[in-house]
Amino acid sequence: MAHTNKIKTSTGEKIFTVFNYTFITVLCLIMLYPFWHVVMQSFSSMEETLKGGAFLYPKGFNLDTYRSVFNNPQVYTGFATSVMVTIVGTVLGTLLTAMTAYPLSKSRLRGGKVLMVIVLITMIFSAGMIPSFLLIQELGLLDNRLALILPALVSAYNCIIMKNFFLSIPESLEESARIDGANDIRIFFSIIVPLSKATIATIALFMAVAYWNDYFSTVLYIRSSEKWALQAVLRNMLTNTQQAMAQAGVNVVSTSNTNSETIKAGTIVISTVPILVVYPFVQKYFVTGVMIGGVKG
Amino acid sequence: MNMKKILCLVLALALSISLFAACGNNGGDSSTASTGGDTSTGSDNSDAADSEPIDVLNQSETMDLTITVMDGFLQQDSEIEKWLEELYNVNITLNILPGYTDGASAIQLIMASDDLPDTIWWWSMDTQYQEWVNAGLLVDVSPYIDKYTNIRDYYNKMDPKTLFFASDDSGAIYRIPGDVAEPSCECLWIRQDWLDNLNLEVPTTIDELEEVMRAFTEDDPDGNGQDDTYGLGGDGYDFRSFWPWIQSYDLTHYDRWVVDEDGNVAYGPSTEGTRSWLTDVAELYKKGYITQNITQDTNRDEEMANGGFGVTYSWCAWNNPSAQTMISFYSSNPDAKWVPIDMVTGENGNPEEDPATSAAWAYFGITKACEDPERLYAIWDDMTASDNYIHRQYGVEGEHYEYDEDGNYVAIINPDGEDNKTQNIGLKLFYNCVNRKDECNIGNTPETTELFNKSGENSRDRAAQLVEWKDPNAFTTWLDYGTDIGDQKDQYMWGVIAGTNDTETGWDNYIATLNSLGLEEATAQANELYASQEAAMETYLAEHEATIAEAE
Repeated sequence: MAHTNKIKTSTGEKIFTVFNYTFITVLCLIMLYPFWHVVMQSFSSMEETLKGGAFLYPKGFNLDTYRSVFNNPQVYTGFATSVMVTIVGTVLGTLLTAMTAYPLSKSRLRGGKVLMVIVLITMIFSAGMIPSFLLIQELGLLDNRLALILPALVSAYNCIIMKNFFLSIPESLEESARIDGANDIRIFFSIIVPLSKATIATIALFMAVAYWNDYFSTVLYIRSSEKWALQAVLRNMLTNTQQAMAQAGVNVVSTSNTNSETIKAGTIVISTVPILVVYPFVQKYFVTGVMIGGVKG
Repeated sequence: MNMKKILCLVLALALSISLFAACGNNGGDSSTASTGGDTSTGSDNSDAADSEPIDVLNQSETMDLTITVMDGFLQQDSEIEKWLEELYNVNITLNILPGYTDGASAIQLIMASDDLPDTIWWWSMDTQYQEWVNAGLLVDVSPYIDKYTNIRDYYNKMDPKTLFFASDDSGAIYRIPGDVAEPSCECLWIRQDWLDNLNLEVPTTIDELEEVMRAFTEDDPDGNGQDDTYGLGGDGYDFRSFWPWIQSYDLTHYDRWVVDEDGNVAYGPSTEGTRSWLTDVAELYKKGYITQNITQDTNRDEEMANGGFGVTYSWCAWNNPSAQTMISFYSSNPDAKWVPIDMVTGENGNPEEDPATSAAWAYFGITKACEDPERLYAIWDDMTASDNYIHRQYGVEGEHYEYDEDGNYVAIINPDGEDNKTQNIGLKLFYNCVNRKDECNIGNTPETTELFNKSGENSRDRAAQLVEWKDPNAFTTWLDYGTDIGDQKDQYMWGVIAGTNDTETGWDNYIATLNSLGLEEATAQANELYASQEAAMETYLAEHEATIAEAE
């Protein structure tokens, strides 16, 4: 006679489980709904959108919004800028962060602690908007897309996460590689980087999201509209409204700065999709990477 | 020394350095905060007034122009831009500001940089404007204004006070008015179809209006059998929605300072008139004749589309067939009919519209970066000439617009539409850099123009009761106390309307609170400033009598 090892769950546990599932489901729906609302609005007619209310499904389904959005040349130039900035910034940023964090994780580095303090200081003290602007100006980077990339290339926060992960890699691995004749650069690229895929993917995702979502650098450093990042284009569409003018102390009617709600919704969807598409590919590394980085924090 | 001490020292050092860095920026070459720089004055280029005018249409040397703008057409190399480049032999680069939310920060950074555009556009920012003038960043255009006269004549024709407000005490003009609202831009709107359904007449007095609001709320004007309508609606958290009651009493305003016939200045929201209209509005709100969420930051267009209310105080421009709000409304309410009506007569027996200011709400200026400011001013002036203005804003007749049999403008390419962008035509290029509200504003139908004119004329008595400050920086007490007083005012007034406060027992306490926040001191200074400003205005108008008469 076969024995089953099923653990009996009490009624209380069952209620608790049902409650948990219900609670988490409701929580998920609450968090997902705003995005769902925008997606459904983007497929709805302008008239229905103007009436407001909840959008569980498209009302007056049509694709006019996307036709309008893709007819806007600024969306293309913004998309190109954002893609370029995100790819270049993420690749370079991740590499430089790893190359900064690795030596800092080595106890044999002379002055390592002082260097670490210097890195930490940048987390606590920030020069502020005007000095940063003046620096970019002095570097001749105003109205240059490099100004959207360079200032955020290496962040102390990411550096610390990565350094903590490197500390967990056994020293013996490096020693054996050194015995086999590998130098520091070879060790870094052939031993350390492959072992750090999870952390690197996590940092890369952090950086990609930050670069993709950044609109304020455009506000600060970019003058020509064809060099605007997509988020700046989107923000301009979302915020250049009659209400924004009123809040800014302007009480005159303007017909030139109103975009319909559907156009705004469509642009939001288009600007959000790319980062959603990337996320599943790095998601498997994501939690692992953060946890590993935090172990010795 | 242990590690903790080293860390403390390093942090203290970093803090000190960051403090010095911040101070250094104030005194840096490119900062606009420094005062006492080589202030530009009218004398710098006063010789220009006597020299021969520049013929901007026949210039052999190509001039590079960088122009920073916020509104209108924002793409580079449009048809209109190329037409202007060819016309004036210039090479235009557009710098676009990032919208009204971040625009002020961007403008400040641009003016703090070494890379100034030739023309900068801005709105509000009076304090910063004064700093730019003090730092010599803007060019005085007063020597050119009588030499190239399109801009001068246009503003003098519309309202001679506009250029007075743009000038400084010495007569120098560092800012060119970019957009001045019509004398009054709003009027009372009502649902004619609801009036017809209930067999009601158009109201002419405030009592009749209140009766109509009652009927709209209680008598099911849309006939759907549901209690889902209100009398009055408006943009949430905006006192202008209550203008019919405000104008029922003299010497009151929801925000501005008021002045009586003897020249006594008072803060509008603190007068007895304000107490009276607040009481009226609170009662109507309590009865449920006003949309209940008007005390929150709500969207009027959305509530209109849902057919929620039948009376509102709003833009005359809604009368144009191209008005987006009305297009959207009628697409979902095809049988409805909003019509503009005359302002109703209130307690004071003098129905008046809400007057706009004589001063521009937006300006643009020529910066010191411009190599030939006179030529640039002459270009701006020529772009303001009737034909060039219509070409720039509406395009070419037959190609971008036409007139119907009644002489009404009909857009072939809508300046605010998609085709303008996708075909890179450039209609509305340099919008808000001198917007003409006269016969050149062909987008208005004759009825709308008439509506604007009527609203403007019916707002002059009220305009005479309202104070406009030429130099808000000189009103130092208001700079110090104004924000707190304004916050307190909003809190109390919305509290009264919402029913959480009242005007019987709460009014004295409200006034006492405003006084404790510095209102009495501010009022004393306001009276002094107003007297000197009025004297200066009289002098200005007398000095410019000939040119003003010429323009009219």
